[in-house]
Amino acid sequence: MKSKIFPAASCLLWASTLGSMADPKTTTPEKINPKRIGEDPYRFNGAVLTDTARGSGFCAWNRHTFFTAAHVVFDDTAGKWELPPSWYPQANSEELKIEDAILSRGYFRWTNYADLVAAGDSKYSAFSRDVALAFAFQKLIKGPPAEINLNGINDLKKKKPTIITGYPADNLYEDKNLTGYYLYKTGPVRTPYKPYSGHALITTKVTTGHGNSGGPIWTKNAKGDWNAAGVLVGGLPSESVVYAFSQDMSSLLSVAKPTLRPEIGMTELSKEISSTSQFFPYHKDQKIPDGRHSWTAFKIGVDLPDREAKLTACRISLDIRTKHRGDLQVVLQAPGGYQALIHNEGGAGADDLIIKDMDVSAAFKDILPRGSWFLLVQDRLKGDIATFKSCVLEISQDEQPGSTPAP
Amino acid sequence: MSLTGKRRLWLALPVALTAFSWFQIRENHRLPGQSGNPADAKTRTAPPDAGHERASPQKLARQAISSDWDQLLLWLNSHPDPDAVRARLTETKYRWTETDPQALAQALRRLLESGQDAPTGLGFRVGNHGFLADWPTLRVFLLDVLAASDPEMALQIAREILADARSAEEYAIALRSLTRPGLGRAPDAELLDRFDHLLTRPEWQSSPGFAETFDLPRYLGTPDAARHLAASTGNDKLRSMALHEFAAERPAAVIEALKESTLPRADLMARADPQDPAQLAAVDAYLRDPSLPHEDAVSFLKTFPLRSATTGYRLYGKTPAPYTFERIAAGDRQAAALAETWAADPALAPYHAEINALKTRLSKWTEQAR
Repeated sequence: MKSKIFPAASCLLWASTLGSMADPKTTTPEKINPKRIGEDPYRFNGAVLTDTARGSGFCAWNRHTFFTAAHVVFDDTAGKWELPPSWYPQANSEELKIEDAILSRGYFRWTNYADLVAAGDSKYSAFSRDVALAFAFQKLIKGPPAEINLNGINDLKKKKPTIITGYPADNLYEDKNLTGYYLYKTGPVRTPYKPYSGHALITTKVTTGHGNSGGPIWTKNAKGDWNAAGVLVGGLPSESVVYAFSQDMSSLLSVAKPTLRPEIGMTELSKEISSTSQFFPYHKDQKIPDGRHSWTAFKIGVDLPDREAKLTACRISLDIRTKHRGDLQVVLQAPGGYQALIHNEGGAGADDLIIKDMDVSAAFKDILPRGSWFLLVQDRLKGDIATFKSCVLEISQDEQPGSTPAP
Repeated sequence: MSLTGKRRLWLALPVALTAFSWFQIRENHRLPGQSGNPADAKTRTAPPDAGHERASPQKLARQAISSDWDQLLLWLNSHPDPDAVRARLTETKYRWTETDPQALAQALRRLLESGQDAPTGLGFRVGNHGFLADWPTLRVFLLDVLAASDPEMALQIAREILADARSAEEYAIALRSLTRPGLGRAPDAELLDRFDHLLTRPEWQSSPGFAETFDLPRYLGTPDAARHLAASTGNDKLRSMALHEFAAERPAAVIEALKESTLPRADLMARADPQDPAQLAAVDAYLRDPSLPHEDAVSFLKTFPLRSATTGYRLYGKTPAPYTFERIAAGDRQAAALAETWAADPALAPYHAEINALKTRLSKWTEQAR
């Protein structure tokens, strides 16, 4: 089986850094004691195989999802979609057993169009978008999945302990082949990673080998548990490049969420408004200038105890009295200018505009909700005076800062 | 002291306290460098023009924005750290968007008309909900904020910019002010014309702004938009990614557009929704087409029904989230039934190995989804 681990472009980088490869402080992979495979964070690991590549991955966020490097599952050069990858949970043997394979149903690659033209589609931009999240209809591991550190992009730059785990096929630094599919760890080390390109970070003091691509880099949380802070995407004899997790990954998880098999007894998540919602009422009888194409703004100050927590859900209720709601335009604007069109002159000759619990979460998901919100109202046609009576903004920030959407 | 004297003292006390407090406040609020010397204070040389000085809140807002702008231009001359630039521009955007949307649009128009600009040292990066997370120039920053101002005025200003855009990034971000729901939405035909116009600018084709504009056809989501995209030339990777994101959301429109195209279509046909009888029939006809190269048929059978996708922050449409468990599972069941008929058909014998592999795969997935 072909072992296509780090992007081909990295070979160029390898050649350019050979001169500095003799750093004796470089940390290299060590085989995990088989008795410890069932422990955290080793039990989250799995080998990832496609028809043409071998890599690593880790089950995180949900028992039906695993992260890996995008270049393990998608050949950028050919630009062709292939079969989704197979997952071999807790592999640790000379050969993989086909009966252990779980064929995933698909995956999402987190990327953007600009990366396809950035710097001639170089290795730098390739690393900066090298993450994929695969989903399966079958559970991928026993027990709970790994937690994700959405602040990995900052934590990995600090001198905190980190470990890389995965299934290297060789030890690049010592130029040795490693047989089979055994789980290795590289670290723990306290080496700050430096910016490389976009979300890609680099260190010159840690190295692993081909096959480890897609494996996790772990950081410790406040409780001392290992959390996945990124994905190994490239490396050379004395360096490693990782794709570091940030709040963007929260959006990736939101994309994958609808593909998850609903669990029996799972809480209904579709409405997303929980008992932790905060309500911001606004009451004021105010006439809207009639037939004027200018906005009357109702400012709603949103003060939430948690400044860093993102909005997970939002609803608006509204009461405007008028003889013709078709004259009205209503926009809700969040801090930063994010807007939702609430009413667009609909309803023709019908009277009062009364809206109850309109879900506008999609327009504001993942923004920081603290600050000034505005309800903007226009009465665009002359003849009937509209009077604003009240509105209530409901905001939920279910997850804690740095955490992930409910799986 | 007489009673009158005491009364006078009591009356004088608040006056003295007020005067003292005023003095203290003046002292505390004096800016560094202000001496407090009355000789330094500016004196009015003309009678007050109350009508002129009593500016409206909108006017004050425009003045504040103009002042911010001057300071930004000066500050960027000192080549600040990119993180500091990002933080300051973000903070500026949050402050500006608290002003009246029409006053904001007017202020932005004036700044854009001034022609002033400066590079920021940042790239062109799309963030959540289509707003930019990084702005390469201050004019691009202005155009990004424009999409948070009055939709009608933003539409008009953006059209003026589009007629004379200085870069692909300006073009791409101005175009966003034509895609806002309600009064800020340009007609589909105009948007497609502007997309086509962008493609005629070869000097822009390696720009991130040019690349991000490929999300526009998916945002429109019409068969016509799919045809325009399929017919585009230049960067195959951009077109391929855009067609796949479009097909993942609206396979019928893309399959229809492919009928008039010579593009490789195996992967795109594999995105068909087997729950739609018309798409199922299109897929069946595709595989049975005698002119279909064997390699394409194999490629199609290897991925059908393709449910992997790209996603990320996009300039015009929402972050792509095209698949749900229920639809994938239902589609797999339909696809499994179709694969059974293919396996039993001697006319498809050249592909039976791939069809049997497909059957095995679908059977596994349908079993897991139960």
